[in-house]
Amino acid sequence: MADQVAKTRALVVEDDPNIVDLIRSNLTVRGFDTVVSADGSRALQLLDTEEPDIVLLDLMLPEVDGFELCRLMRERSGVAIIVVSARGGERDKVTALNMGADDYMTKPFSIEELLARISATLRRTRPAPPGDAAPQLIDVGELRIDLAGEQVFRRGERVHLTPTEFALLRELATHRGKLLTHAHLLRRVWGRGYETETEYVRVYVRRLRAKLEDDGGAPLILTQPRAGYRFAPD
Amino acid sequence: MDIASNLLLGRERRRHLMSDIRLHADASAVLAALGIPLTDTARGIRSLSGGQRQLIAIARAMAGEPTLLLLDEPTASLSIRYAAQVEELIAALRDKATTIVIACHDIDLMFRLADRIVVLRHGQVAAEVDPAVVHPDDVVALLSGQEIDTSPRRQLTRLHGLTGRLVAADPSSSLSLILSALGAALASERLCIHLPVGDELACAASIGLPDALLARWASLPVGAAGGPAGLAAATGRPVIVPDARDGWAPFAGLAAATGVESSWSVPVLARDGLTGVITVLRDARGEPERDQLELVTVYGGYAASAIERDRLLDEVTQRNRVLETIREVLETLAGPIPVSEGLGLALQALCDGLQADEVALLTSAGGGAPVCRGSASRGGSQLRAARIRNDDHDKALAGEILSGQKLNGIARQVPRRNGLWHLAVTFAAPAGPSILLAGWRSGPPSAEATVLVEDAAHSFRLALEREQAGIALAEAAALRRSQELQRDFLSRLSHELRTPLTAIRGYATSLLQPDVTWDAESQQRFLARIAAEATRLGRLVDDLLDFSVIELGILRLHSDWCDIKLMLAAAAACLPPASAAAIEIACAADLPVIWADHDRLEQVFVNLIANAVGHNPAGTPVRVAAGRAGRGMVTITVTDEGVGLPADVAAAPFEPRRVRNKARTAGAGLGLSIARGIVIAHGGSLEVLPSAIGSRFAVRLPVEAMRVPTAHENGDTSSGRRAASDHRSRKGVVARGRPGR
Repeated sequence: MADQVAKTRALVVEDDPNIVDLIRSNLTVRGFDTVVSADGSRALQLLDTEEPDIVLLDLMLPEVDGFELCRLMRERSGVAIIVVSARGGERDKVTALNMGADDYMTKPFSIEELLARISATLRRTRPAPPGDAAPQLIDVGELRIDLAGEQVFRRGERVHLTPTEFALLRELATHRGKLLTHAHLLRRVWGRGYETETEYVRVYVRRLRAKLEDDGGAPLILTQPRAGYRFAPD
Repeated sequence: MDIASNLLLGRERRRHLMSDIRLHADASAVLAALGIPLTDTARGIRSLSGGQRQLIAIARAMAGEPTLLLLDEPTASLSIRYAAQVEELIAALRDKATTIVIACHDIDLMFRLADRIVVLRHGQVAAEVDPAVVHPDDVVALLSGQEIDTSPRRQLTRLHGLTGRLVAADPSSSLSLILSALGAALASERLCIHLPVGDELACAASIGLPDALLARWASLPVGAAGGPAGLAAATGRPVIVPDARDGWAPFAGLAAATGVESSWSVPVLARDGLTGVITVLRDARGEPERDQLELVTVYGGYAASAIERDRLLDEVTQRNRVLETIREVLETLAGPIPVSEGLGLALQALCDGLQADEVALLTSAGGGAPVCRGSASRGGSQLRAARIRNDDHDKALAGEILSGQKLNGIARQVPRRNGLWHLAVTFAAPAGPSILLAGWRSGPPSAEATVLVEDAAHSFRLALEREQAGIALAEAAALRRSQELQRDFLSRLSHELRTPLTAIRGYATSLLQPDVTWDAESQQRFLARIAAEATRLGRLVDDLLDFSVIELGILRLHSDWCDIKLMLAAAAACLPPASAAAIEIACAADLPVIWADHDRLEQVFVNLIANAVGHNPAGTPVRVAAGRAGRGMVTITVTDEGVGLPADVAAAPFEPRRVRNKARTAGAGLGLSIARGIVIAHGGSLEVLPSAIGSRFAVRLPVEAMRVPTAHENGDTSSGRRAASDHRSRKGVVARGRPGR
């Protein structure tokens, strides 16, 4: 694990000195670079200047709404965002995902769990190494998916997707017409240990639809109630 | 000769002869008293105009203060302007009760000024008429000696004139107008009209009736006892009495005394029966001609329609008043003002509209004794004091009616009681059976009143329902708010508990990782932080327990005699030594020991002092002062000169709240709630006092709260909540009320 994350930089947005110390100590031991901010505007600034690979974001910050900060970060960057919050409600989790978070952790957490989620999220959101030999282009109606370049075009125009969104689209599009269960998608896109986080898939499928489907047009991603999703067949 | 000499000629007093000044002063006074616009009393009479001379002449006549003033053609030779001045003076003199006899030929002047017109022809009194009832044309006819024209054309003209005047006339005078016209048409000067009122006939208008007759005929029974008019009313046929002395029983003597020789009484019939009787009194014996009787009938028809018109007008006025009242009541009750305030106004509108002496709205909540929701009385608030005395009557009456009758919204008359005739409407309101009472002193209520009271009761029922709905809505909103607060509180609490837990679990799992070796410094730091956060968590749990115990009302105190000075010193000692220096404790010399739980009070003051120290810049002075406050009470204030309470805290200082500063040592923002709960459990109070700078809390405690054996003293520590609630019912040692609410 240590070599995988050797050059990784993490931005910790947290105002409790104990948690900051805890996370920083552990990430430093694992070879991360760590930058810390206790306030929102400085966090946004660090996002620009330090170009972190991952953000650990506490939702309850003084003077700023954590959800709003998450949305602003997602607007500026495709950085991996893990929300770390003392609020354990389902609604908070879905809201955070909707605001662009890639993962959501509830306090209190064990350090192993935090590190495992950081690894999984980074793996998912890291760009694939170039020179991959897999089939490169998938055309669906007016949509063109460039798997190698990790780009999506709709009527010739580039659609911006976050890495997690693209990972989900890739998984669906490379299995056209086949039913993919929630657990399958979670395991393949988010990683082992995520199989029960059904809302993740729901939120991300909704986001893909919003970005890629036409209002009233033929659906791109079909819902199989209580089972999973199916990408429009050939 | 000047005005003054002229005025006082022949009446000069000695002093006038001695002094011109006095003469002129007295003359000026006479002119001023009469309102004559001449001030220069030294002016020569010759320089005056004809009108002015006439005014002086009248003034000279009046200077002797006569009871009878004779004026011969007073305005005949004057211009219009001066004639008006003279007429004005005459009118003023008449109003000062001077009898004035004017000889003149000016018919219009006569009708404007005279109360009585005597027509003289060839030195003989030709007629004596009342200008209110005769037509000027008739006076002209009398003057010129013509017979009063009875030709059909003339009669038609008369009728047309009458119609025109009736339309313009005030309804109350229409009967007099008709009688006067009929009198002129018949050349008869004595007439009267009776209208049926109840079982009797009342004289509604009369012309030229002698006083003796008028007095006896003001009210007549229907039938033979009512004389010719009574008989005509009873039979519905004209009653002709050719010889009054003979056929005027029972008024034969009266006929002789008043010089009535014969009479015709003609019933006035409308579609729905008798509306009146017109009686014509004649100076000569004999029967009327057929035409004359018909004339009476024709005029009777006019009278009937006038009476009908009056009745309709009256009805419309009544109806309008009813509608107006209902509108006012509805507008008040449905308007923007709260129902509780609107009731009084609506009741006043109803009382005015009913012309009732009092109205009241009572509700018997849950079927208990009726309670007055509002009342009003004639003339509004001036009689309010008298009304309050009557409330007991109302309540008793309402109680009787409510217990005996259905709530059906129908108005019933109540037999006269406490000097009032009542109408009562009962109806079901949300709060319980309700009753609307209206009372009249003068007599039983009218049919309109019944309708109006029923309508009003309906409106009041709707208003009371609306009020109830409003209350329910407010309660629901309060409940929702309370639930929101609870949810909010839980969410904050969860955060406060998770924060130390996160640190503890995080540090512990860090240390437990098999693949990392921490250096000694890190290990030490992790362990220290685990210990500190565990302590913090423990405090939080203590606070939560205290808070729950207070919320549930089962806080138990272990009271004993407690020295406030020692207790405050102990509280101050709990704070970090660095801040202790800024704390000043001052106790009055006569401060008594109090019966209280030393440890709990110490907790209260640790919290208050720590707040004062912790929320202000380092070194901000904090003063704690304790002293007696009235009978059996002590007050302890904690004052700082710091930044004051944040607005949200000042608004509700004892609500559980979020702790902004996570690094702070203390708990879940429950400190003030708990402190207040503890103080209340001691039978005292904790409040924020207004303060120009900083913040100021005051704790008031009884020296000896009602001493009840505590569970601790009883040796009963196990039976928990039941025992505690027993204590609660005996007051004093357990928390009452709900802190933070």
